[in-house]
Amino acid sequence: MAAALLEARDLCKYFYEKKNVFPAVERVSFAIREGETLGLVGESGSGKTTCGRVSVGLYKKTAGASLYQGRDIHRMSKKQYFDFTKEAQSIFQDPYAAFDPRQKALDIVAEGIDIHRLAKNGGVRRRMVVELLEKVGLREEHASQPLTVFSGGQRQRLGIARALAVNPRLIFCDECVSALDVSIQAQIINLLLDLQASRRLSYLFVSHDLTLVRQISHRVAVMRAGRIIETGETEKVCAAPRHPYTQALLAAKPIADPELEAIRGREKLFLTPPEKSGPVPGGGCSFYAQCPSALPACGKAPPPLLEWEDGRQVACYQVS
Amino acid sequence: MRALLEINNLSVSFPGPAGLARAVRDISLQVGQGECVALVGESGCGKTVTAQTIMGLLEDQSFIINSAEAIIFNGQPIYEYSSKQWRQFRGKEAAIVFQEPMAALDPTMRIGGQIAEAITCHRRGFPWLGKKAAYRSVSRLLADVGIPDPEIRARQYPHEFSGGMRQRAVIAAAIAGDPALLIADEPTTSLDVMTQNQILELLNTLRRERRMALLLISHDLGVVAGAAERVIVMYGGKIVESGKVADIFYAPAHPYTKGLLRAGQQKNDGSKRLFTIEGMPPSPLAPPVGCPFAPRCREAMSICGRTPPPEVTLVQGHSASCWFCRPNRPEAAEREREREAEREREAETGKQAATERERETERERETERERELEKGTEK
Repeated sequence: MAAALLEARDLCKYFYEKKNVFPAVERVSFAIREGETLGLVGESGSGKTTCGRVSVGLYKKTAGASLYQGRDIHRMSKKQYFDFTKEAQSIFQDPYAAFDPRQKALDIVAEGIDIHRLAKNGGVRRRMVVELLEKVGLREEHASQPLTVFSGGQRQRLGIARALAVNPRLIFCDECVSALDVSIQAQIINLLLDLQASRRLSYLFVSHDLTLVRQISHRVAVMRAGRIIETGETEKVCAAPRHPYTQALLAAKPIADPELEAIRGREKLFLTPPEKSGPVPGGGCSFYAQCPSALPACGKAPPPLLEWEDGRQVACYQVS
Repeated sequence: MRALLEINNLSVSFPGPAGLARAVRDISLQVGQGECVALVGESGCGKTVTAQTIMGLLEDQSFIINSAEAIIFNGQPIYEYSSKQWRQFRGKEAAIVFQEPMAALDPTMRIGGQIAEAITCHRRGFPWLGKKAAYRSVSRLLADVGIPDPEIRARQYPHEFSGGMRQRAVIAAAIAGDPALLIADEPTTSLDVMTQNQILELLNTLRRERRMALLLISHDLGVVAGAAERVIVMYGGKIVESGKVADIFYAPAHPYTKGLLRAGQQKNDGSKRLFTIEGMPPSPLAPPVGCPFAPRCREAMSICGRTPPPEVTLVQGHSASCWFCRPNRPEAAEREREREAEREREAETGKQAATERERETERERETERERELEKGTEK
């Protein structure tokens, strides 16, 4: 097995507010190998974005470690971290908030090129940007246009071009298609898949949509209330989810089929979706209150993430 | 069913420095009393502008609407309303729920206060309805939209609410005036899948209980499938197809609707790639002369780019604006045969590609095995 490109070991991130502590990420471990995509799934407030941000060093950690090729990101010197940013890039959720609206597309995409001094002169810089724009499905004339003329999908392409500019090996995609229309979503996913095939990129793909993650990632980690509750190969997890929460998450996505929806409508009532996310006051399993098959033990202590023989890990008393 | 809302040949344009942006071009639709109609389309297709026009939310000088009679609500042409009548209309006759609940709520005001405002606003004629009574109905409304502990929650601020709860509060404010029509403009887009389901369920329950008509606007056909009775598909400011939910989902006629239904599904040619609709939606500044979808349509004929297609009724209540849907067109039959052949070819090449890929992975695996063996012998 190839060594992991990015590895999180018992990563914790707590947010402090006056005397309150909010454990947003609680002992999360995962590994991403080269050319592989890890999907991080969970509903809003599950800590998936925080987890991603801590693991690539956008937030400071509270405990644990995040290793990039064996080196701890949070213990890197400024110089080392600067070099790391050339290897790892991010694409953010909101294509309207991720850029300076007064910049031109050329300058937006060239940001990484400028910071890492990858272009010898303006001509080279422009050529590099145009090449990137074409790679993500935009045209040369877009380079000199201001950001305001770009639509949501085009902006997301700009975000991808900006991330690709420094020739990274790892891209952290934080809900990078959630704000887009379904048909544009598919275009962006295809683009990410093509880039992965041609450049052996690794993705940390954060999304709330398990069916979308299923399309793109090799392995998936389902998060809830700051913990990973199920992880394994995507196809295995999606085909036969073991944790009741994963099952609920898979069933939640609406299907474009009215008759199926009518049948599912009744089933969905069965699994009342969660009201509150975040840590459970009693300290039990985060899905305890909604779980259709909860045991008394579930309310007392959070179930440990146990490894199964097929390489999957599930945190549930019921199935272990 | 009597039509509650009737839109006849509505066009809305916005004058701007770059010319006239034609956001909505000549659309007609009807929403019956208590009916749930979905308006589906990509961003920029004019669905939100349609909703805003119905609610009279566009600034007077900033847009051009073709005629005052274009929108008839309950038999009344609403664009002849005075501003006082408009105030009566909004909230009481029709109400709207927006995509972003945080933007719709005042962050400095308690949730209860914001909903009470909607109540007292519309019951001005009832002096006996005091603040206390208003707060009592606030609690009831909050309970109706599924917010637990309504008395406590009413005293909280929007930042103390989660996204789904905020959207519920916004819905509570919208239904406070007992509107006959509720417009939900992408009500679930900013929410995650779990909450999405709950909000859709809630909207549908409210519609049934209150006999309220619902105009559900979304870009996601999945959202629409479980809720709507009729679906209207918009593209490039025009209605391209409309029909009962089963017609649209099981017998889509317009290539755009077909594309939308397929978008996001995995291609079954062995790769992990997804179906997409290639290209970008047209600009409202320079809408295509013919069919708005022609530049992206894989089946476009030369006539599609020249002349806008007529609206063709396929079955009762199901119509599409597409040259292909016109009955007895010899070209259509010919194209059908061509496409059939093309599909066969595609399937074959797809198969070839798949076997090719399999062979490659096989080869890779073998070399890896050899390498491992070598390592073993070295040791």
